[in-house]
Parts: sequence; C-alpha cells; structure tokens
Amino acid sequence: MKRYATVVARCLLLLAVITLLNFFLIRLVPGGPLEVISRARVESGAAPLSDAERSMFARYYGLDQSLSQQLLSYGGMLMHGDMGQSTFFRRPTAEIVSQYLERTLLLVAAGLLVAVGAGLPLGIISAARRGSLFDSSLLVVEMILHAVPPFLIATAALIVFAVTLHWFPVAGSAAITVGESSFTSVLRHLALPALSLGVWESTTVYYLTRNAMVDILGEDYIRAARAKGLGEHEVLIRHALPALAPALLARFSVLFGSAIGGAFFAEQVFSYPGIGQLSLTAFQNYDYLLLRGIFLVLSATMLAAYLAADLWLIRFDIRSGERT
Amino acid sequence: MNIPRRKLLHLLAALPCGLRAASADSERRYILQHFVRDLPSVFAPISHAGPNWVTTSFLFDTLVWKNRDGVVPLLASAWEVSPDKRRWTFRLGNGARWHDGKPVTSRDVAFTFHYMAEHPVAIWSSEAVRTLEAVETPDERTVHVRTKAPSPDFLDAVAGTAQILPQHVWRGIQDPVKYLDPPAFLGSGLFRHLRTSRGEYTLLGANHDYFLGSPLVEQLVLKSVNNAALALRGGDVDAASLDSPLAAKQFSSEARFTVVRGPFSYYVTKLVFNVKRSPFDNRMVRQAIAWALNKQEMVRLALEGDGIAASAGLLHMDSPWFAPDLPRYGPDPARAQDLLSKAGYSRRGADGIRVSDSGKRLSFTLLQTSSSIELGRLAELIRDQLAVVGIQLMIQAVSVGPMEHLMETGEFDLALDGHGGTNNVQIAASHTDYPAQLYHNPALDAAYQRFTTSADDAVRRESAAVVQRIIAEDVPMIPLVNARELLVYRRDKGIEWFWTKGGLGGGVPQWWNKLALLPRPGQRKK
Repeated sequence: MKRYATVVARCLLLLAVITLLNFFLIRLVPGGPLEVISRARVESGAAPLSDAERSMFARYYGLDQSLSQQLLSYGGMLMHGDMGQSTFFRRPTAEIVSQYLERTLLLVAAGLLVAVGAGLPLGIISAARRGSLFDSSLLVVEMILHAVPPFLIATAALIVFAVTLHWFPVAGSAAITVGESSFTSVLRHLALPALSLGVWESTTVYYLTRNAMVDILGEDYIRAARAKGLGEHEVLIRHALPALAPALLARFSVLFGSAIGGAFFAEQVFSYPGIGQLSLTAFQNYDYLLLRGIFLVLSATMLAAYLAADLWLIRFDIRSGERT
Repeated sequence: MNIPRRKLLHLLAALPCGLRAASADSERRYILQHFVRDLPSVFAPISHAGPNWVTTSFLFDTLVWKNRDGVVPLLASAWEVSPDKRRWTFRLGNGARWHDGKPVTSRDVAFTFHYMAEHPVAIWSSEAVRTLEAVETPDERTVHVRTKAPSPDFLDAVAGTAQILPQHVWRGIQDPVKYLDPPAFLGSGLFRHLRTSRGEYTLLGANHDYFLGSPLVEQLVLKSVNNAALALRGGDVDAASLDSPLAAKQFSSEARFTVVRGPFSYYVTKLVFNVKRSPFDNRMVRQAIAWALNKQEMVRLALEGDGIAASAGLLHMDSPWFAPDLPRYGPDPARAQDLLSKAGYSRRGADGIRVSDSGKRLSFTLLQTSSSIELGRLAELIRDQLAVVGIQLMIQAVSVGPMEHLMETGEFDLALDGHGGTNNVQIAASHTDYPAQLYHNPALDAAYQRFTTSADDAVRRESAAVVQRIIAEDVPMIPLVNARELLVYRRDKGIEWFWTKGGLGGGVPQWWNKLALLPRPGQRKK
C-alpha cells in the first residue's frame, strides 16, 4: 500500500511543479495578446490599437494585474476546478481543451492500435527468428521507417490516398454537417492520420518488443522449457509471452508520450483539429489561460499514463512475490 | 462507446458509401478555404481581424458594400453628404429583413452605432463610430449621422465596415464578447449560420429571402486547411487563395481550375530601422542601405517574379492617394558606398566589413518573423546585397509576438516586417508604430493631420503626397515588395470570384466578396 501511495504522491507533486513552471514559462516569452490584436488589425488594413484601447483590453482580460496577483487568482481558480476563460475563444478553457483533447486522444488511441497491431507480432516473430533473413530484412525496413520523420510519412499518405486516389478526405475530423457527425465520417477522417501515426509508432513498438523478447528467450527458464522437449511455439506462447507484458507496460508511458508528439505532426499535415492545432492557435494569440490549460491537461494526461504503468507494475511485482 | 462487432463491420463496409454521400453533398455546397478558428462573432477581439470580419460579412450586412470597381449600395440604397463632410444621410432600401423575418429599420442602424461606441470591442469600426456626434432616425428608412469632425472617409471607415446588428437581439446584452448564443449570429445577410466546428469549419445556409436575390449555392462552407493547394486537388475545397506563385502555376494547365492572377497585394514587406540606435539614427546610413538594395532581384528570386518593387512612400500604387513622383532608390552599390563613407564608415576591415574611425563595425542583427518561406528568402537576399557594400547581417528568426515586443521596446537593429492596409494614408502615419516603430517626425504628423481633418480634396491629395515624400526621403523603413494576389477555383461550380478594388470593407485584402455568390442577370443556379 505504501508503494502505491508513494507513486501517487510523486505524481501529484510533479503536477504541482509543472503547473507552476507553466505559469511562469509562458510569461517569459516577450509580447502578449495586445500585440497580437494590434498586429491582426494592422495586417487587415485597420488602424492599430490606440493607447485607450490597449488599457481597455488589458483591464478586460485581467492583464493589468501584477504577475503575483494573476498567479494567486489562477491558483484559487484551480482549487475550484476552474481553468479560467480563454481570451481567444471567450469560453471556459476546460470546455475548449476537452473538445480538442477528445479528438487527439482518439487519434492517439487509433494510432497506438495500429502501432501495436503491426509492431507487436512483427517484433515477436523477429525475435523468435533472430539472425534469420526475415529478421535482418525487417530490422533494416524498421530502421528506415524509424529514421523517416512522421510528417513525411503523413504527407506521403496524404498525397497518395487523399489527393491522388481520393479515398480519404484531405482535412478535418469529420464530415461537414448541421447535426452530429456520423461514426463513419469520423472513421474516414481519422483513418489517414491514425495510419500515418501508427506506422511511425509501430517501429518503436517493434524495437521494444523485439529487444524484450530477445532478452526473455535467453532466460534460463526458457532454456529449461526447451530442454524439457517443449516445441518452439509452446515455449513462445506459454512461457515467453506472459513475461513480455510487464516489459512492454514499463515502457507504455514512453510510447504514449511519443504518440502524443507524433499526433501533433499528423494534425498539422491533415488539418486535424486536435490539441496540437489548438496549442498553435493559443500560442499565436498569447492566450495565456488556454496555454496553461493545455499544458496542465497534457501534463496530467502524461502523468496519468506514467501512474497507470507504475501501478500496474507494482501490482505485478506483488503478485510475483506472492507466487514465489 | 460499445459497438457490437457486426455493427462495426457494417460501418466499415459503409466507408465507400460515405464517399458517395460526400459527393452528393458537394453538389449543393461551395467550400472556401478560409481561416476559421472560432464562432463567427462580430465582437471577436482576438480572432484574426480581417478573416473574421469576412466570415461575419456573409451573415451581416453593412450600409454600403464594394464591387470590383468601388462602393455600391447594400442596406442603404442611397446616401448623400454635406459639403463640410460632417453630415451624412442614408436611405435604407426596401425589403431587407433579419433572418427571423423582422424588417431592418433605421433604428437598427442607430442602435448599432450607439452599441459599438458603448462596447468598443468590435475589432472593426468601433474606433470610427466614436467619432460620431449624433445619429438621428426621422423615419423607418432614414438615418442622419453627424460627425465630430469632417469625415470624408466615412463610407470606408463606418458605412462599409460596421455590420448592422438587430436591435431586438442585442438590446439587453451587457457583454457582447461573451455572447455566443445562436441569436448572436442572426443577421440580415446572404447566409444564415448553421454550424461552426471550432478550428475546422463554419457552415452557412442560403437565405432565400435575401433582398438582393437568392444565393447561387445552397450551403457555403468556410474551411480551415493547412495546405490549400493539396485541399484543392483533393476536392476538399472549391476555391483557395494561394501564397506561392509556384503552387498557382501548377493549376494553370488544368482545365477544371481557373487561376486568377489578381493585383499586387496591399500587403507590403519592409525593412524597418531602429532610428533610435546608431548608426540608423543617421539618415545618410538609411539612404545608403536603400541604394544598396536590389528590389527587382528580390521580386525575381523571392517571389518567383510575381510581384512589384514597393513604393518608397509606402502607399500602394493602386491607392487613390498614391504619389507617383517620389524619389527612387537603388540598386546602386557605388552610391551606397559613397554615402557610407560620408557617414564616417570609410574603412573596410580584413573581413570586408566597414568600420568607422572609432572602430565601430557595420555588423547587425536582422529580426525576421519565421512565418513564410518567402520572408526567409528575402532576409537572405538583404544579407547578401548589403554584404557587397560592407554591411554584415546576422539573421534571427522570431515569432510574431516577440518580434512586436522587441520592436516596440527598441531592442533591435533591423527588422523584416510586413502589413496590409497600404491603400490607406492612415497606415503611413496614424500611429507611433507606423510608418516605422520608434520613428517620430512632427512634419509627418502635421501633414497627416491636414489630410484627416480637411474636407477639401485638393488639400488632402497634397497632404497625402507630403506624407509619402517625407517617408521616401527620410527612410525610417524601406518598403521592399508587394506580392501578387493569387486565386484558384473550380470552374464547374459556376462561381466566378473577383478582386475587390481597395480591399473588402476598410481594406481587407481578401477575395471572398459575397457579391460573387449572387446571380448575375440571366445566370441560373447550379
């Protein structure tokens, strides 16, 4: 129980530190929303903000308060589960972030599904046939795929399957409709970004699986199983695969983090309105509260993934302990 | 979501049907590539100003509008102005109705002006409506407006930009910025708001009761795409404006697309000097750099030849106030070197960089926003061209916000910047940031003051010319190039887009003029 509590407490402490860092780091960037408003007006041919308008906007958005006052009021809001109002969208930050995060998580989940579906079996087979032509060829292919930047894979998929063959849409997250989008249209729009992300992530899954499996297949208990006369299939399924789960789980959070990063590229290429695109909008418009909200939610999501993996591992260790 | 396996298989099998459904939709729809981040609110202070205003222009009408040649009636069928340009009278035409069927009256117009003055958060025209002294509505169709000072630009600044709001919707709204309920999008325009998916699209439906006729399309979609050229090819959008001449050229050989090479943009790229910092506080050095730069080479190499060298007076050559007889600079490296020598930088160091007698080297940092490939190329060309005359530049790419901050606080040497609005004299002298950050010239201010307050066209023309001459001679910044506006649209959709002279409203440099979506005499709906 104590180990569970330690892990949870460590995550909460980390979250608090990240929140504090987020608050100050964003404000270190020179400029602010007023410059952006003024700039946007001038670029469109209107007059820039007058001094009176600057003061009015600063008052309206609470930017006339000192940084410490803003930090205090932000802390107070968080205590009440309120992440504040986005200055750009003029809606609660939580509402906007959840809307975009939902799409990104869907993309990441679909991408990971593709990545695990392709990388896991290939990694297992490659490890089982270590040193064979299949293993060596696959290693080269995966190495090339791993070296290709994710946006290049995404752009190639976009040009071939959307622009040339017209099988999938070029942009968006669902069909344009007055009512709710159909599940089919969501799938159609998700397919290419998820496949691109999945293909890129599958190389990580492949390497993780192959390396872990190679280690496992070299263990004494595997050699003992083989010595008992068990077939290679039986050794693999009954003894090696159960040992693979904790090794992969321990790296799940790394995989998840990398998939979130990859999703940002896929969103940009496919104009997929997820959290990456939202971050760009928030940053371009110096929407401090929205940026803080995005960082906070992303940090919390990542920490939750770490926490889930850690808790799972602790549970597994305890069970192992009970068995021995 | 718990989906049975059989249902999932059924849905997967339906994917190609989704494709067919999309094709059926496309018969009724017209999709424009447009910047959509948020709901189409008239009061959206931070949303990108011009694009957001263009979006709301499909929902709301102004008193007057522009076609390809100039101002035309919209809600107002006629107008007149007193000789002193302080009293404007507008007569509303018959038949304009709000989307809920109620008639548009002069009271709505008066309400809008008062409301915008009280809530100065509308990105457009809120500043302008505060120059109004009184608004009277003697009857349902007549609006008298009196301004505090002569307002010769009233049609552009207010009548053509202030989108008229329904009084019965907005009367009780205290904070218009946060009012985003469905009635907030109820206007009198050509389209009704159906749905906005933030960051993705705004879907509009035809207003068949529109007083100028039913639009040519049933639905209009404004859609955000990161790569307009690919979206056109993939059939995701039907019309898109392109930044790159190279991308536009690829469409010109295809029969299904029409490529329109519009005018040279009001958007100007310019090299801004920090006139408070040595040696750029010396006009001779600034002029030397102007002589050293080769703008034609910039057009050829950075804009693929599709642009023009910008006027030294900042105003666009299509502006009604453009002064053609201004000084022209460069390329003349010998003259630039001569000026630099006279300014005290006669020696060259071993590395070829000019040095003053006190040992100060002509070596500087050039700030550049990392917003486009063209800007990057321009920065490199400036660096190379100035190296010839012994000036060294280090290019530093920054994003827009930090760049604005560094320029406002004077923490820069040189900056590669840009903006639109060069058809208006206001952009040349209206604010401390324009024509260049930190630059102040009382003679320029006086000329601009004469321009804005005089009702005499001859005085205004002469004042506008003085403004441009001062800028051209004093060189607080060097206007470099204006790129060409490029548009590609699908021919089979039956919509012919055109460029609006002077820009939409007060000067938004965009193609999407709603008049293109109204039938021309004898034209049938697709």
